[in-house]
Amino acid sequence: MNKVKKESFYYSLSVLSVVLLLAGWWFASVTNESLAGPAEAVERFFRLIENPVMDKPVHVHILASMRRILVAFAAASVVGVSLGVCFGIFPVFRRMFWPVFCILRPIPPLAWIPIVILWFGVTGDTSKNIIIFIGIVMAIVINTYASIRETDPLLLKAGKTLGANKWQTLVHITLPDSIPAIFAGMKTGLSTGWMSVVAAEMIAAKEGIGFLINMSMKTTPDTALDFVGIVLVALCSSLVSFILTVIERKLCPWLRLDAE
Amino acid sequence: MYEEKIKSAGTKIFLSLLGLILFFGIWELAVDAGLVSEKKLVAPSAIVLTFIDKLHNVVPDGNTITVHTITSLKLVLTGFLLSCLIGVPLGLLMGFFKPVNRFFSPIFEIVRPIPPLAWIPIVIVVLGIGIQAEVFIIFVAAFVPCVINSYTGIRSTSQTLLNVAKTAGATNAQLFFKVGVPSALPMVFTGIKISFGSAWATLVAAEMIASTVGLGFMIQQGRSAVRPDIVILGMFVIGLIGAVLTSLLSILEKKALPWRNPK
Repeated sequence: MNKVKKESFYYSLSVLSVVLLLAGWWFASVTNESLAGPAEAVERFFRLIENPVMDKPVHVHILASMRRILVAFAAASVVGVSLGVCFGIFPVFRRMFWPVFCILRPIPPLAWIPIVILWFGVTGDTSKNIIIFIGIVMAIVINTYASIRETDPLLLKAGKTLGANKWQTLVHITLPDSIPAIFAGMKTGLSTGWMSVVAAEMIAAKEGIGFLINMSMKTTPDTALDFVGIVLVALCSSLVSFILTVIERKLCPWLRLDAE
Repeated sequence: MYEEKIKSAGTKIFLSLLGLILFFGIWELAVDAGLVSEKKLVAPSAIVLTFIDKLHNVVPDGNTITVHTITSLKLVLTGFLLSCLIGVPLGLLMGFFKPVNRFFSPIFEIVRPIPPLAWIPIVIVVLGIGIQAEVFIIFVAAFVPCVINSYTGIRSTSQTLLNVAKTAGATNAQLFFKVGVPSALPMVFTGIKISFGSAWATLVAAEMIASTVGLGFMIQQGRSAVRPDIVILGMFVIGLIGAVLTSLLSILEKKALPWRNPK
């Protein structure tokens, strides 16, 4: 009985916090005319469906952002894993290019925006895809490389004992052993990637969720539109990382066994 | 299998230098030979000259590079320190005391997935364009990793240690300060380092979108003026400052956690 009471107390705390958050938001919107409240944000979403921004209905903006992140993610996964593997298994390659990588690594992906625009222009998707690619790829390279170097030595020795050659060791031992770390890198990369999508679209785009967010700053502030954009980004990013988690579970069934 | 096969230290240094020389050499030659337009890329040597020039020249962005750098540094440190001061204690308390967790975690889970830059339009309406707005955005960016890591760190406190302390008659406050917090510190530091990276990246972007001074503003202006030398110089300065401050944090970590490095 006591336990039940305690649980319901905790539950009411959670409810209270959300209620307080909404109330605070509502109060702020009442005291500040240009700040939209919760109800206005919901209403703005439905208005967005009827009244397209820049003649593009809302799903075009969502699909534009999704397409950009998926293209960049696919490219970053291929390049990132290959680079990480090369750093991990070729000592000469690592010695030569790790310092170069270390010079480029601390430059935040968003700081690449101006130079990429100079190189590839504002129009078209190329520059946006490249910026998002840079945002995603770093974490994948680092995680792949680190996990390859930390492959369980016992597994490597077992492989050797069974007569595995270098290639077999890589394909059958090192890579499968690294999958969880690679996926962790992909997830970290994706969250930087979404930030890059928003930034790139805020700075230079004619469609996309970041573009919607940027439009909310024009002439008369339309903060309701910003709230809609925020919710859309949050939903899309959770959807992508959910799909990634499903794929990870399929690829490494042993992780689920460990958890159980 | 993949352990170091290059034994001699000389070979190691030679290879590293070779990589760097190849990188900058090909870059320099490609520009000097006219393979790339000067409007897109300038040689590394020209960037060094631009750096010296930018120390006193205010064209095209209205300030010298020193002023931009100091402005950016002040902003990032203010937002970052604020988020550490609030985020770390919050994460620790959430991880240790269930009611605190139940109250704050729903709010935190709602705020967490919002990309920091998406706050800009709201913040401008509420706080106006200015220092407070920028500090707030950096604060939000740095806040999330601080909370998550402190929370995870204290949650993974060894149950054995807690039981030992309880048996020895420790109060709840003693359990928190003498067992929970010290064992969470390594994770807290990792969170602080991630926070700084995130704060620094966000600041640069915020300055590109809504500011009139700072390194982010400088590279954005460099693009408008088609001055790739200024853009690339800015990128290197941003990268260098980020790397230097991150390694300062690592040094601080080693000093604060002597038991982590027995060597």
